[in-house]
Amino acid sequence: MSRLALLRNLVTQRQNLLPTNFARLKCAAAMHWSPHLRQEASRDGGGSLQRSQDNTQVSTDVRPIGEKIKENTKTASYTAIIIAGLGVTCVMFFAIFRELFSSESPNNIYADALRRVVEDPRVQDAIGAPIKGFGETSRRGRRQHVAHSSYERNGKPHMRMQFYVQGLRNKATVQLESRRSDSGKLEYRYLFVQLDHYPRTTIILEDNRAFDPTPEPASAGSSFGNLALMSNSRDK
Amino acid sequence: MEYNRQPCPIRIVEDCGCAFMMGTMGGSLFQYLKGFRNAPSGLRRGLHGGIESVRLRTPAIAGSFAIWGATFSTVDCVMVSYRQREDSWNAIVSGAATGGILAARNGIRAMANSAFVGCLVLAMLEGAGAAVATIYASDGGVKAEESLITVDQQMQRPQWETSVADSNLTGAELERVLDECRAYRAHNKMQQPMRSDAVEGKELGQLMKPMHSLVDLVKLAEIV
Repeated sequence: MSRLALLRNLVTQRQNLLPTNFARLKCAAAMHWSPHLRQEASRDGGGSLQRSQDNTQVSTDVRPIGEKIKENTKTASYTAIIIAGLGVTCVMFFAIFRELFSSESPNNIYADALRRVVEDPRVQDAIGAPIKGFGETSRRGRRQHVAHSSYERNGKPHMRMQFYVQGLRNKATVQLESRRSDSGKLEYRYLFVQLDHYPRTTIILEDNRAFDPTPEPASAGSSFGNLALMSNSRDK
Repeated sequence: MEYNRQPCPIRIVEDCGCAFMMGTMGGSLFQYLKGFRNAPSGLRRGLHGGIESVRLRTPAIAGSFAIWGATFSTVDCVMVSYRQREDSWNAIVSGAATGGILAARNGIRAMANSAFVGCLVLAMLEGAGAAVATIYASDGGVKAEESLITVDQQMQRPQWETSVADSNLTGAELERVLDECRAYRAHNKMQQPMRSDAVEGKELGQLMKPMHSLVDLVKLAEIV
């Protein structure tokens, strides 16, 4: 009888506990989804919007004018330095593009002349078939600088140049002078290949010195026309 | 002997050494300053910090410079051997190739970036060199011309010397002919009043003048 009574007591307590917990959970859920709390949340949101509007209307920049001037001066200085750097960079890039891609640059004149020298059969016979071209030798063994000088004669730009070619049997020095013709194209005034070792000869690929525009000498009269032709030989 | 004169194979070793030296000096300077700044307070600690930093980091920097120089020179020599000419394009392509090769472990994208940076750096260097050469060529035009002429004369080539000698002789003869012409003109002007006084008839005078001019032309021809 005591055991049965104890068992009934336990069962009764268990039945009592479950409804109690269920009721608590239900209350919590109801509180979570209550419209009252929802209205409060929306009200807070509205409050934050109003606060941001208030902040927008009022300016917060309260720095003194001295600091503004200092900052603007600093910004201007840095901008000037940046512009100077960009200017130097543009100058360097302009120089490199003019050197590599302009038809009148020493590099391109050297390339054209070298191609012509290499393809000439007389030069191939004289110094050997695989011909290598290079410029002046620097201290570190790089030979890519081609000696050149530019000047003006009779109102036209001229460029005088000298580089070297080497084949299997011999080495030669190429002397050339280029000028701009009447039609605006570059042409050779002369293009010589001078062998360095035996046999020391000069192969003349092109010689247009006879077609120089002759400035008429004022001292000589018409009967001395031949002397003007002779004076051309001085202008080689 | 001819092989020793070729700069290209030996230049790789020389450039590697030069780059190593540049890396050592520059790296030592920079790492000493950095170590000095980052050391704890106190002069002696600063000095020791600098020395320690130099000892630790400079070998890696010098090695990087040396590898860069060696790779650049190798690619440059390959370009010279392949193209059979030396110009600015060799340097630019070598710079790009060196950047790409040394960044190969980091993937294709890093290779492309390094190649582009190498190309830009070498292009700027070549641009600076070209600008300096152009300024020198245009500024010293006359002096450069004279120096080139001097170089031509110093080379002492037979035909070139002959042509130079011919030009000199021609100039001298030209000056002599000009002097003769001036002397003859002076003589002619001196003698004109004498002839007019001596010869009464003008016709004889007119006939005489052409003969004299013909004789003078023959003399000019003989002189020339």
